[in-house]
Amino acid sequence: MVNLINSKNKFKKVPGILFGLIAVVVIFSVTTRYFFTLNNFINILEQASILVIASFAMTLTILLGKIDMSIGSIMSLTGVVTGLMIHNGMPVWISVFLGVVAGALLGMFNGYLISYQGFDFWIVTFSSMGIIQSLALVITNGATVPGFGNDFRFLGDGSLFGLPVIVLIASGITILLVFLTLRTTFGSNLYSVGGSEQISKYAGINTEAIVFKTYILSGILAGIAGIVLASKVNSASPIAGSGYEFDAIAATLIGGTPFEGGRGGIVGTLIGALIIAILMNGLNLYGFTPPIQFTLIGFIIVLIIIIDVLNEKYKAKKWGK
Amino acid sequence: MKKNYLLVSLLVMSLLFFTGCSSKSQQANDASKSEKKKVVMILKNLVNPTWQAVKKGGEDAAAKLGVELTVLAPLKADNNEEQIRQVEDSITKKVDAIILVPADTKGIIPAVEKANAAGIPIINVNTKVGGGKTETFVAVENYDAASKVAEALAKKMGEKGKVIILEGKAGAQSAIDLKNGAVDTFKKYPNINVVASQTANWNRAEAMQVTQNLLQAHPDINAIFASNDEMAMGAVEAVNQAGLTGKIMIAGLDANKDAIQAIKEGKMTLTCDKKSYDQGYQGVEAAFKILNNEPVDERIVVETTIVDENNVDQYLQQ
Repeated sequence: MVNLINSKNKFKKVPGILFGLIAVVVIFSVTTRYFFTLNNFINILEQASILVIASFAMTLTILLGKIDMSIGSIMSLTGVVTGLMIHNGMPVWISVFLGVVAGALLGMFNGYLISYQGFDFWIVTFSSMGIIQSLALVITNGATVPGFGNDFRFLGDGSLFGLPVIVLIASGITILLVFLTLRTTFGSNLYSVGGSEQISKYAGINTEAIVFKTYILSGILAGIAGIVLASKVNSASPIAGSGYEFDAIAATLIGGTPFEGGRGGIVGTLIGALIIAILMNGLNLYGFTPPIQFTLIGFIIVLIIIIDVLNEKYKAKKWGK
Repeated sequence: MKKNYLLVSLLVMSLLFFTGCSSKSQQANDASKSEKKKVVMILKNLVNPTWQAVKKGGEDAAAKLGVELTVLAPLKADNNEEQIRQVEDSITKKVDAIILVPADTKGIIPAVEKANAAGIPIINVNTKVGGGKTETFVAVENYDAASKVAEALAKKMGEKGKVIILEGKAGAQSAIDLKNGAVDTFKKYPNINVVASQTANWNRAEAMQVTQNLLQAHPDINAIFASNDEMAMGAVEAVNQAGLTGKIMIAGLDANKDAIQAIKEGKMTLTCDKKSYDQGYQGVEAAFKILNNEPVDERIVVETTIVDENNVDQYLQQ
C-alpha cells in the first residue's frame, strides 16, 4: 500500500532526467551546426519512435519488477507475419490488425506462464525470445520479406499534418499509456504489484490478472513496434528486431525505472529513448566511428545518471531539513 | 556543495571536449571549402577485417584524390535500421556523396530513396542495394566468389567426400549468396555430399562451437566450407582441438591475415582474396569521378583470386 500513496509522486523522478536531455541537446546544438534545425529534430523524432514504443513494452514489465526479453523477437515475428499476409493478398488493415493480435498472443503466452503458472519471468521470456526468433526465421526461410505498397508504407514513411505518421503513432501511444498508468486502477495496481507482489495480494489485488494483462499489453506494443518498423524500412527481416530488448532496457533504466519495479514510468522512458536517439544522431553528425561512439554513449549515459542521482540526493537533503 | 562542483566540472569538460572536436573539423572545412568534397562511407561494421580493409582502401583513395571522407558503421554490427539512420543523418549533414555497403539488401531501400530525393548520389559497394537509384555497383560477386572457392575445394578433395558449410548471419543477403554459390557448385559433383549447413554468424568463436558440435555428429567429414575467414579460423581451432588438423580441409573467403598465416602453416587449405581494399579504393574513386561529372560504369567488377599453398608467400609479404 505504501506504493499506492507514493504513486502520486511518480513525476518527481522526471526532472533530473529531463535535465540530462536538455544538456545533451544544448551541447550538440552549440557544437555542431547541423543539429539545431527543425528538419533534424523531426528526423530524430522519426528515428526514436520505434525505440520509444518498444521501450514502453519493456517499461511496463520492468515496472512490475519483471522483464520481457522477448520484445525484439516479437517485433521480428509480427513484422514478418504482417508482411507475409500482405504479400498473400490480405487487405493491409486486416494484416496489420492480425499482426498486432499475434503480438498479443505471444504476450499472452509469456504472461500465462509467468502469472498463472508461477514460472520465473527470466526463464520464460528468455526461452520465448529464442522460440519466437527461430519461428520468424523458419516461416521466412531466413530471407527478408520484400517491399510493400504505398498504403502499408504510410504507417512508417508517410506524413500527416506535416508530421511523420510514425511520430504521431508514438505520441498517441505515449498519451494513452500515461493515462493508463497514472489515472486508472489498473495503473495504480501495476505500480503496487511492482512495489510488492505479496503486499498487493494481501490488499486484495488480483496480482495474477495484473501480471497477465501487463504482458499482453507488452506483446501488443512490441507487435506495433515491429509492424511500424517493417513499414519504415519497407521490408520485414526475420532479424529486424533483434537487439531491441537491450536498447529498450537501457531507455527504461536511463528514464528512471529501476529493475526492482514500482517506481519510474512512461514519461521517464520517453525521455530515456529520446536521449539514446539524440546521442546516436549527434555522434553521426560528428562522424565518429563506431568504437568511439560506443565509448562516448557509455560515458554520456553514466554522466547523465550521476547528475540525476546527485540531483535526487540534493533534493532529499533539502526536504530532510 | 562539493558535489555540485563535480557536476559543473563534468559538464564543462564534456562541453570542451565537443567544442574541441567540432572546431577541428570546422577548420578543416573552412580551409578547403572550395575544392574538398564531403563523402560518407557507411559500412556494415568495423569488427571484421574485411570492412577495415575497405575503410583503409577508401581512406587511401580519399587522401590521394583530396576528398574529405567520413567512415560510419552501425554500433550493433550489421544493423539495417542504424544504417538507415546514418544515411538520414548524412542527408541532414548535406554530404556530396554516400558510399554504401548495405547490411540488408532490401531493408536499406527507403534510405536510398531518401538520398535520391535529396539529390545525393549513392555509390554502392560490395553488397547490392535492392532498389532506388545507385550510380554504380563496385563489387565482387559473392555468388561467383563462393563458387570459385567451392570449385577449388572440390578439386583438392578429388571430387568426392563429405562437406559441411558454415553460413553467415541468417537472413543477410551476402550469407545467402555465398551459401547458394557453394551449394550449387558442390551439386555439380555427384560424389560430394553436403552433410550439414549451419550458421555461425560470421563469428570466430561461434564457428568454433558449431564445428565442434558438427564434428560430434559427422566425425568422417573431409572438408569445411566457411563463408568467411573469421569462421574458417574458428573451424581451424575446432579441428585442431579434435586432433584432425591436416585431415580435414578448410576453406574460407576474404584472405585475412590470420587465414593467410594458417594456410602457410598448413592448418587451412585455401581462401579467396575478395580485394576488399580495392573495393573501398574504387568506391571512393567512383564517387570522385561522379562528383566531377565524369562517366562511370554501371557495374565495376572487382576480380578475385584464390589463395592456397602455391601463392601464399606472395600474400605473406604484403
